[in-house]
Amino acid sequence: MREPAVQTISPCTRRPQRGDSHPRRLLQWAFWLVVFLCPPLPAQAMVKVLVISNNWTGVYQGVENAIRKQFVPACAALESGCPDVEWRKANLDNEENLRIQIAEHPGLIVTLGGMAAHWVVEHPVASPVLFTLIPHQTFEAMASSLPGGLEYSALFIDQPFDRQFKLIKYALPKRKKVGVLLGPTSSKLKPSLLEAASRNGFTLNIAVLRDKARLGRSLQRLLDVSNVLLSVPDPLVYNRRSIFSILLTTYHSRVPVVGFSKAYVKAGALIALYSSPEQIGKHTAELIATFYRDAHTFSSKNVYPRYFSVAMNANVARSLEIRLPEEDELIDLLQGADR
Amino acid sequence: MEPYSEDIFLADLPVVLSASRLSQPLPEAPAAITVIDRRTIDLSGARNIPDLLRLVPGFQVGRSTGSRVTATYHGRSDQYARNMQVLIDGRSVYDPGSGGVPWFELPLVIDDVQRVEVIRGPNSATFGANAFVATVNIITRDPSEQTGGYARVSAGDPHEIEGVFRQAGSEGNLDYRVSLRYDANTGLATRHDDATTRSIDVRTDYRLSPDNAIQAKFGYLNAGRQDGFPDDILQPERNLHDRYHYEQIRFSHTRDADRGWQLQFYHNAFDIEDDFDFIRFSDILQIPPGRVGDPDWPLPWDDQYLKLGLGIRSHRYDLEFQQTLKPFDAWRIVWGVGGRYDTAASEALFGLDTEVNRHQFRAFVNTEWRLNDDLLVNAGAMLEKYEGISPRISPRIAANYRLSPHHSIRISASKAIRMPSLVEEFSNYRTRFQDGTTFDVLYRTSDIPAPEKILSYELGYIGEFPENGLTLDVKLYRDELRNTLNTTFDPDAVFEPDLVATNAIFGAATRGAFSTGNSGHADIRGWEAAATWRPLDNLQIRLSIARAWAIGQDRKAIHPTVYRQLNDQVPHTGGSLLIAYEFPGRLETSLVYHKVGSINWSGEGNDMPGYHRTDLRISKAFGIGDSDARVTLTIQNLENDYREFQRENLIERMGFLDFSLRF
Repeated sequence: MREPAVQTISPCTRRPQRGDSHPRRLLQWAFWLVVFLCPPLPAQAMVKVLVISNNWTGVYQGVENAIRKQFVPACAALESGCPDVEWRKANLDNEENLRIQIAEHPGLIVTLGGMAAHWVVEHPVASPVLFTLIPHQTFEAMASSLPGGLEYSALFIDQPFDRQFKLIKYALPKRKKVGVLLGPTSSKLKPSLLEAASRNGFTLNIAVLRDKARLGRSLQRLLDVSNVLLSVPDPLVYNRRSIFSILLTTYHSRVPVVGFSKAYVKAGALIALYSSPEQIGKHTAELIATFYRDAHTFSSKNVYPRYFSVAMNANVARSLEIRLPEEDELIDLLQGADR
Repeated sequence: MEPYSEDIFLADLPVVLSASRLSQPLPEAPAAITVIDRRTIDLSGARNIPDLLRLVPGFQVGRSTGSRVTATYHGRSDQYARNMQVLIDGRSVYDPGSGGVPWFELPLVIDDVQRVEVIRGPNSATFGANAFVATVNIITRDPSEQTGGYARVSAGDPHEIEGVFRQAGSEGNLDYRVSLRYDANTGLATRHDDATTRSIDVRTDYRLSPDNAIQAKFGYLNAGRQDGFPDDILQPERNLHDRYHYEQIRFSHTRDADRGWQLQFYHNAFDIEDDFDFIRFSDILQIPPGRVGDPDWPLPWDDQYLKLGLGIRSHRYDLEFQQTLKPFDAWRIVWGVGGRYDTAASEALFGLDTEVNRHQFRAFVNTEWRLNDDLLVNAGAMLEKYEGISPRISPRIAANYRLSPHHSIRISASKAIRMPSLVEEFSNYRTRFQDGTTFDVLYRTSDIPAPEKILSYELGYIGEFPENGLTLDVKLYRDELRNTLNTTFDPDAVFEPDLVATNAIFGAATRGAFSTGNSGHADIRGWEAAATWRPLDNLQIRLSIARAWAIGQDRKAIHPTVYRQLNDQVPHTGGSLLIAYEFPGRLETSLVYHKVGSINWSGEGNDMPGYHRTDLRISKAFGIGDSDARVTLTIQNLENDYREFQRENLIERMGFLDFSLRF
């Protein structure tokens, strides 16, 4: 039989020991009295978790599947009891159904993606909210509009700068001059970028693009002084059209690109950290399990993905004559460094 | 939604760096390759591609006039180097008529070149007949990298004015570039070779979908130039008019970086207008006009003007399908089929109302096996069926072995062929009177010449010393050339009865004719080394050295047979050194030294002594408002004047001042 783990378990679960006699009968009476008077354990109750998204295909469905699959194992890993969860889904397209679901006061709302998060901000809810699949900049911009009393947390879709610089350190050890092309949106990240770069021993060269027609020239100036390009998402700088210019120009200067998605590596970036739907779902499940263990509160607020993979483009590596470590080795190093 | 959504992380993206865009790392290439990238093009101060080829070990460049230049690998060339294949964005620019490449009649603007890959060695397995001793692959910049406007104005001494204007942009899924160029120069001081050139070159890239794209290119060039020699009857000083245009379209489907297919069509048209009739009979006889028919000169003809000139129009049409497959992780295959149609017309060279042509069908395959992490085997072959001859196969096999992470060796063997040019095969070069009757036959090929053959063996080494920023590339080779094509003179060649009369009167002056045959052979062996060194971030050094020893001969004449030694046609030594240093404030300086050993050029060329030349380039970039500007001073040939290709061609010191603006 398992040992009761932590003090959060109600004293009502203590069982009588064997070998008691007259005092034993008295204790047995006391036990059954207490059982009737004790309230049911939270772990035995049925809770509703509402997952909201504007898109129920591909990645979003993949995340939701992973959340449901990983929830029970997540609770087991925490060694807390798992509530029975009734998983509900709602689509922003069907607002009537969405409102009905919200009115039933789910125990927890999980949003997948920026549009769902935005809806929740616009239509204040009483339930605690876990915002997921959202870039940290986008979340921070909307967080100020959240009502004061709301219990919420976020799981960002992007990877922390510190982890990205460590990736460069382990994968491209000789390249210490990092170039970053920022746009109007990402330029606000300049201070945190500089801090993460300096903490990890890199020289950071930054150019801020304000006019997309100047992309080629701004990039070229950056490449003249950098030996690796770190991509920081910004819609003006990185889009389906501009990546042609970016990948070709960096390739012709023989400067590898650290991307921000698996697709970007397929297009021609040398290496990128990304979290798959399964990994995001697993982390989300763990956050939900922790939320229940911590009596419906989020003990860690606004976190970056715990689980991630490394995508690498073997053809580009070969062409640039760069030997990359194995993915497992990199993940080990990065997870070690995270602690 | 501010500031942006998760889409940027989740969206699918097209493959940009596909196999065709990625250059092979040198240690894995099946041949010795010299890559000249954009940066090196700038630092070298080269005004045109042939100038750039001087930096490639084993290459010789010879200017035959101010507006004509020939570039060859391992010598053995006249003014139309016919032994190399040259491509611009996958389109052959080899002229099927006279052979060789009309370098100064290509609408290409050097400012648009991204890189030049020179494959030093036979490569018919990939590029077909004519990739005989080398292949020059010119790749232009992607328009998406050139967005905006660009203008350059250059002034040179001896007199030259050049202007380039380019506009590149994108409209939806279309990226485009339009480049215009104007050049007017007086050429070499000792030659009658002024030239004025105007050209336009357009490239468009259209993305139909993430996997499908169309590239369409076309260009047009128009040049008026002078040519000829003083007191030369067949090539007097005169004016010519050249026109060149091309159209190219390529559809490509890229499934992923290693798989896809493409279909390409192109057409080149080259027209040299060179027909003149100001030479009279009396000029040939060197007697005063009007004296023809005198008792001293009892000739059956009047003193009429002769129709002369080397005008020629040629066309090349080519269609090719190519597919790349990767059936297994370690096995990559490229295969394809294609067809080509070459045609040429020239009153002087082939005859009045005569069009000569030749078609070709081809199929090729190239496989790359990665046997293990250290061993790569490359095998390929090209099957070609030319009209009139049996099918030919040109195979190549190469193995690359990685001795250690930074050192690898390569061993390869390849066979290649070179088809005669249309002139070599169908030549019927004669001078005529105004009424069309033939005066003299100068060059007529009677038996269809066979393709010449080369069998080449090569041992290569690539070493990288990353701590020192040093790369070393060494090649040892042995080439066996057989059935080489050359012109042989036959004093007894007789064609038509009327010419018998001419010969009786003029004797040796008109008797006999040249013809093309396969009467030669040569063995060439040597080594080439190239090193690039970057000891400091702003200091770059490129060195190339070539040594060659050739033994060969062909038949210079028959009746009686006279052999010509080919040993001197391949220079024993050659080399170049480029040193470039960038000062703070975007000030670039570079010095280029190159040296060529003595070389016996054939055709119009002469046996020329070796020479060396030093070029200097100083360039400063700066911003003007929102634009990027650059001022460059280039001085070519800092040292003494020397002669190149022909004794008449004096190369003096040349200076150029460029001002360019990117806006």
